[in-house]
Amino acid sequence: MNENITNDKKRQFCTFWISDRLYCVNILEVKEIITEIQFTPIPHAPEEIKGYVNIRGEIFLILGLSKLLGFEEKKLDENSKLLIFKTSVIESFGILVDRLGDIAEVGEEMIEENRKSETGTSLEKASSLENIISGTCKLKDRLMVILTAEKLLNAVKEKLLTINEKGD
Amino acid sequence: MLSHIKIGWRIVGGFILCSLMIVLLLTAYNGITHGIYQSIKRYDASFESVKHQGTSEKNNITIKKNRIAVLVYIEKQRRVFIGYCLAAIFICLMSGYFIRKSIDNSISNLNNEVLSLKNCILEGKMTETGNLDNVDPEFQPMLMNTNIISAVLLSHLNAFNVFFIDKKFNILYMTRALCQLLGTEPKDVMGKKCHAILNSAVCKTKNCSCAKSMTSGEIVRTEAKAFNIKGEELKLSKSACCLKDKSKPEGQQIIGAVEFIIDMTEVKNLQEQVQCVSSFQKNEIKKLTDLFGKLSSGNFCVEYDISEKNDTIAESHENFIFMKNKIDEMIKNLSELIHNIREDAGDLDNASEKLRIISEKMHAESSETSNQAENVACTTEEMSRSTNSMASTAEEISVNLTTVSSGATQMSQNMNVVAEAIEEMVRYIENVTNCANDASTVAETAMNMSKTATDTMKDLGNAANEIGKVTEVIKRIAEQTNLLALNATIEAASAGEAGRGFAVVAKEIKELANQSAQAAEDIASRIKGVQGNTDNAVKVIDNVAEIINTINESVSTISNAVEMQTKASNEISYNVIDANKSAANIAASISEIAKGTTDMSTNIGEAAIGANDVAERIQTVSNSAQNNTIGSDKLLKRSKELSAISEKLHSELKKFVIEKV
Repeated sequence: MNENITNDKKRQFCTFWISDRLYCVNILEVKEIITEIQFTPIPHAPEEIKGYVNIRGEIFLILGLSKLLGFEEKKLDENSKLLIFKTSVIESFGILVDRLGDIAEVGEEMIEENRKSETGTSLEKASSLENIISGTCKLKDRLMVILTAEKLLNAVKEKLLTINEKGD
Repeated sequence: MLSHIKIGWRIVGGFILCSLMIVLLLTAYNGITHGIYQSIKRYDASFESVKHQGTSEKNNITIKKNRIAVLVYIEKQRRVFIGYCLAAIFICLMSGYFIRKSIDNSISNLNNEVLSLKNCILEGKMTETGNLDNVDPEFQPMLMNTNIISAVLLSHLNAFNVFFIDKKFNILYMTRALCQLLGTEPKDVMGKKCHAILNSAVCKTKNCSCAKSMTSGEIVRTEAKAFNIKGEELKLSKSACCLKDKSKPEGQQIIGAVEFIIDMTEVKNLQEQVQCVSSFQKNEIKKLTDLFGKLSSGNFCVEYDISEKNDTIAESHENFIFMKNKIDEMIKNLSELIHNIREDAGDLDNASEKLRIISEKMHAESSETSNQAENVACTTEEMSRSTNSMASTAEEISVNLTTVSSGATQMSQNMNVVAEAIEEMVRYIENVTNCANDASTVAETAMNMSKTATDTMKDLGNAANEIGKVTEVIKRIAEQTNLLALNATIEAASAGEAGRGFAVVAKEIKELANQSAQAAEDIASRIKGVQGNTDNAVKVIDNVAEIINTINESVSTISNAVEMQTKASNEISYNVIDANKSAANIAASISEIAKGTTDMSTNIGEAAIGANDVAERIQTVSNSAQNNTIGSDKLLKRSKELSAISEKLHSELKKFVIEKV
């Protein structure tokens, strides 16, 4: 209790692993983490969109991040978990992670915000990493990449647009 | 005498007395000056009268007389006035002195009371109070307040375990809390010796904290056991400090001691309980390790005995009892198994020993048979020679006939001996067959036993596997708990300030889950150890089974050899019957010789043929006997092998110790 009060300037992140790399999202964006990873596939959807899940009557769209971040996709196993974002933050959706980490408390001074590049076309925007990654955090032994739900969703939307444009 | 009047009134009385004196003095002064004034006036009037009457000797004398009278009067008045003054000053001084003395008295009374109270408290007589009757009413509230202060302090002190003693260890005061702890009443302990009431282990020794403190003048701490009035044991931590009266000269300042006692009984008991349990568990685990070490080296003559049970270790003890029952069961099963194998090996040993003796006997018998056959051969030769002699001298025949007859009789007897020997041999061989069969069944039983042992071991392995599965379940539960804790942390973060407490709880739960997972891992590694031991035991049992197989093979070899032996002895039997028949023929021939000596010469050839035939038969008998010897040699060899194998089995079984030596 006291520790938390003194570390008021610290931020809490929920960490997870995708293709043996550490990522995290702000804990305030997370609704919950669930272990049931059976989702209803959506026909003709791109690879990034895994399908829908029904959590206590609420429908969430599930994104797979491996492809979006440029890694090989791993098979689902017992460590695979679904991280669901709060509906109040952004649209009802969640992401599929390979393995769950822990709750990380980091000071503001350890976080390095990504420089924003607002210029460029929409195609460039979609392809540039800056639009997916909102910052990095230097931990003692490794680097933790900070993602935000909004940017992830935007990136997927952009990609869908470009695919549609190409299709046209 | 003034003590009952208030001091203020006393001072006022003094002032009133002084002012009365001054008024008196002033009145006296006034009277005196008035008198002087009247005298001088009279004196002046006498001068006036003199002036009118003229100067005369008589007037002069009158003036002189008046003047002297005035002077005398003035002198007298002056003396009176001085006397008055002195008296007034004296009365003032006296009244001042008495008032001062009475005030001094009152204050010193108060001082004395307070001082005596202080001394009492200093000496540890905490219940003493100042006597209100000894001070003036004015100071009574002050003393009363002082008493109240000391009483309040005493009531505060009563909450602690404290007692005061003088230099001779007499209890001056003991607080109510300490009395309750010791089970006595404060009024019962007053003036008694402290070691009579407290009765702790260090009392009356040089380790007594009070005694130490009184000699060193410092604060001394000790820990000691003591007994209260009900005989219950108390563990006390004692701090003693000497009481000093600094007003006394150096070296006599110490007048007693105060001891502060903390009841550590429950703390100590708990500590002891925890120590007891941990040492018990440590001890038991060490015993178990030794036990399993002995078991793995093959020593089954061990028993796991659990240390004495008491209330503090009941729960652990129960667990260990359960463990002990399981281990005892295991040891008992294994011991019984090995015991059975060993008994069977003993049976096998006996059987092979018997077999060896029989085959040795058989060997001896067949040697005898050989010798008898040789004897027969010799006799036949003699007979041949006799026949030759018969041919050369017919006269000698009648003489030699007796010899022939006796030779034939001997042969017949020898044949009977051979037949008997063979019969005996056949009996022995039957015995050997029976023994071999016995050995075979024993070996089979041993095989079954080892199979049962293997099955038991497999059951044990399966049980260990099931425990392993349970640990898997525990691990899964821990993982699930971890996830729940994570979700709880997320919820707590969402709740913001209100969720901080909840976040701490979630963190604790997560740590708990991690610990559970570690514990499950620990159990899994231990199960692996047990499985390794079980595998070893299975291997040993397999070795035993192999040895039993070897024994079985040897037994069947013996059976075959015995069969061959039986065949050979049957053959000998037939040959002996043939030889008997031939001997009968010889007897018939001899009777024919006896019938007519004339036919003798013609019949000699026939006799010679008969003798030759006998010689041939004897040869066959000899051959059979030799065969028999070879067969029995083989049998002897096999039985020795069997002995060696059973010896090996014994040495293998000696590794296991199942009974106490």
